[in-house]
Amino acid sequence: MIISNLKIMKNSIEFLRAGSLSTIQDLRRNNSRVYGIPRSGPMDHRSHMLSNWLLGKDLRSETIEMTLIGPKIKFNFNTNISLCGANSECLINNKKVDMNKTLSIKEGDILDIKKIKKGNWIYLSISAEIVAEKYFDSLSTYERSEIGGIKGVSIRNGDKINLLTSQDVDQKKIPKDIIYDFDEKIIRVIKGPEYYLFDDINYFTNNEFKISPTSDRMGIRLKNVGNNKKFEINLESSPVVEGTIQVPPDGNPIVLMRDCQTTGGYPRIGIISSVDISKISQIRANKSVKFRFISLDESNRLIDYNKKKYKSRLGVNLVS
Amino acid sequence: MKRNFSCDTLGDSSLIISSDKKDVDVIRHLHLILSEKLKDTIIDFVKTPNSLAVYIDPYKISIKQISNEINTILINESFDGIKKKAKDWKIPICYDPSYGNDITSLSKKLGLSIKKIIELHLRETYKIHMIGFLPGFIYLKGLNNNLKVPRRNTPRKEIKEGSIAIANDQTGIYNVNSPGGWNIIGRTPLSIFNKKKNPPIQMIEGDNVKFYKISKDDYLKFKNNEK
Repeated sequence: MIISNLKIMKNSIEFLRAGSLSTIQDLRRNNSRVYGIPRSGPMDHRSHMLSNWLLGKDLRSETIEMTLIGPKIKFNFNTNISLCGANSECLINNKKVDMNKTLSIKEGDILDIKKIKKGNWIYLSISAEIVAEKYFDSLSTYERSEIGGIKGVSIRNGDKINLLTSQDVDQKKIPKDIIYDFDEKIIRVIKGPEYYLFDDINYFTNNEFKISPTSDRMGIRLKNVGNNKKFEINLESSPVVEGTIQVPPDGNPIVLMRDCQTTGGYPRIGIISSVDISKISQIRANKSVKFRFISLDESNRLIDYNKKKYKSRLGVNLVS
Repeated sequence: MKRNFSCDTLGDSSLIISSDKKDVDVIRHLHLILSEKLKDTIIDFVKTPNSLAVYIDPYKISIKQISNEINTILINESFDGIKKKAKDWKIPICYDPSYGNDITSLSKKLGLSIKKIIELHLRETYKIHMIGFLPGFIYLKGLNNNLKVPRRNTPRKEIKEGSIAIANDQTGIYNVNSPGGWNIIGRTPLSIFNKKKNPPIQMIEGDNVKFYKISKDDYLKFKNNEK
């Protein structure tokens, strides 16, 4: 018992700088919403999955999600890592390294992730399982209720995280056509249950909405840049899902994200297609988005297209 | 007895099954059978008093397929005798104003003495109407008509775990520290929501709840014993 503990404790990483908001996230939390507990997980599912793909890991496995200013991490063991998502200057021992490929790490190396330049969220996958608090089979951190991750909160300066044995991996690169550039602003939306209660749908499709800096993992707040319209639609609390666009009376939509509540009282004008939720998560504050309504069938076709594309290009089955 | 349900999609990865009538027992039963029969495809649920939301991974199964599977199950399902399973819970509550932050102001607002408010709150048996929105928040129906009061104009930034509050025709239990706009009348020392356990909460929709009054000393003793 003691020996196996020693083995576990052998591999660790130390956060010399925690970064703006670094949390452990995975795609494994199921059956928690029935108790009012959000699913959490990475804001950008596809970048999370790509970083895991580079290391040959299960796409649902945990990564470290980072934003704005990334962390500075010291590794005390030999391993491989990968970085995907928002473009950022990444250094190993002060030498610039590429994102979107497998990187090798030697004991004592220091990974420094500087200010993010494009996009919001960057993902670090490590070729060893992180030892952290599991809740509903998931390591995903949900800070509001202090669930998962390291003591339920974001990583702090000086935190040490233990990892299990490092696995050997093949060196891989993400094919160019699979890497996203975070420049698109059209977000495809399926009509929501209260779509027909809005007297002026053009308000949502003709206007651009600016991403508010107060957005967080719970929701992206949007602001109309033209003339604001008010909507008084009263509703009983109804279920919501990630990607739901709620419209409070002030006419500024809120897009519910990974840490969202399970029910809501504001009218649900639409639900973002599963293929575009990751996209909106990477659009920066003060940039604009434009909504385009599509049918459920079209959304299913987009899912199918992505599924086939990833299967043929990367040989994996996408998950959500 | 057969029940009528309608199925509406909520985007490409969830759908909402609504009952023609508000009946928490029917929704609870529906959740039970679907979580048993479709446990490999449905990844989560959310219950409201008249609906059940079902969540799937759209890369594994389409919303149309799951909708067909649900319909097949519902056609053959009888909802007879489902009411018997409700449990009765007794919850201690301390109405001391140091916990029931709004009880003094409510007394003025409602024109009732604090004693009367407590008496009316203790008198009723409540039914769990919904759990959720926030982790473990319990909505209870059956509040005495004389205690009906709107939410506070400005919600509080933080309400302590265990706080028991009233708003409109409901009383509710805040089971984790959270912001909220209900009028707080007391607090329970009981940890109803235990995030270290799975499931984190034993009570479910349709169960009955009755409160019993405890003193501040009892509250503190209870809390100490729990440690």
